[in-house]
Amino acid sequence: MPNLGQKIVAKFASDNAKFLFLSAAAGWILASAAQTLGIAASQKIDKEDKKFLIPQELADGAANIGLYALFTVPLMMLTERVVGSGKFIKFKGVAPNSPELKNITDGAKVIASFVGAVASSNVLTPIVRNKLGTIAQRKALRQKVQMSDPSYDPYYQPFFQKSYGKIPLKMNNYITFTRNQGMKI
Amino acid sequence: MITRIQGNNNNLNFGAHFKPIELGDKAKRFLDKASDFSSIHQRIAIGGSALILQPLIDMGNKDVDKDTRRVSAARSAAKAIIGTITGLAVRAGCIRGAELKYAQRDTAGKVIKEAGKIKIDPQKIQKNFKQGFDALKLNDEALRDAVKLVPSVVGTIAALGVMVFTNFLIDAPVTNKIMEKINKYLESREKGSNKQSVQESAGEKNA
Repeated sequence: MPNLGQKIVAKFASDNAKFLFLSAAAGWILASAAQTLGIAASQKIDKEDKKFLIPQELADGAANIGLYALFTVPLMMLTERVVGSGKFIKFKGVAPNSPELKNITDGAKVIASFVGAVASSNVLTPIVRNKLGTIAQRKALRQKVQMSDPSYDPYYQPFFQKSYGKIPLKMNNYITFTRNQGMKI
Repeated sequence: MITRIQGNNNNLNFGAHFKPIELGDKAKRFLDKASDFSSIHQRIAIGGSALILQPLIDMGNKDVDKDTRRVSAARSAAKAIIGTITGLAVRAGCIRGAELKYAQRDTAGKVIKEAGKIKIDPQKIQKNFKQGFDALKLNDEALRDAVKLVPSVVGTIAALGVMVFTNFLIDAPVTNKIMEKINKYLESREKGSNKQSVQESAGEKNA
């Protein structure tokens, strides 16, 4: 019985495209975990901000890996069918089902995994992240506004009606104002 | 009036009219070489494109204000620069280490090199991973190709382990410093261009 390490290395060495795909995903998982733990351990970041930043970082990592898998796996499968079958693409002097064609198909799958990684992580993820980030930012801002202390304006008088615009403030007017019968203090 | 259409219309055989595209030797050679690409090539492709594309996307994000756009573009650029440099260094170091482990050595124990590259000892690898390869039941050619890739696979797996630490110790703190520098540079450039445009408009008014 081969041990797990031997099994993993032999399996990955026999399918380079699959290995490169999985190793990139593993690298991103580790990077995302490091960023998340970095935020959690940071003493410079406020506890309240951490509540928002940690889920955002986790969502960012999940979106990156999710989009990578969603885009790259079908692309690699399609490449294998298109190149490996010999029905759509042919190579000069390469017979169908030959070991040479298998090697070329493996190479095409490797390139497909690179294209998938570049397109998903460098184009799709930043666009999605920016959109999600904007939504999260607005939500956090709304929450902050709601949670903030009610504002108090000591000069605010709800029943005061502007009159200075209509009657010019002169001494006569002031005397009339103070003698007004309707005035209650 | 019903017109009769000749031929069998139930089975549409598109394949009969479709001719496969024939690719030349250059494409064949490139794809043949690509089958041996390692995680170093992958990191160069992803990192290089990230450095160009991600800041461009961030700068074009109209949902946020100008300052946020500049900071996020600076962060993306810094992440791409540092991530690529550390990623490449760690991968290259670990793959080199694996190559040295499975290298052919002369009687004095010195590593044998061929055209500047370390010569791998396939028998050493086959002996080390015999049970793993036996379980896969590969033919001779597939086995030869797989054995050739073992140092790259072992080195990349080791690099993932090393990067658990470098992500914390190097990437995160250095990214922040580089980001600040890029941000300051972009800010000064923006201020410079604003000053220039104000001076130009003032000049137009005076004229």
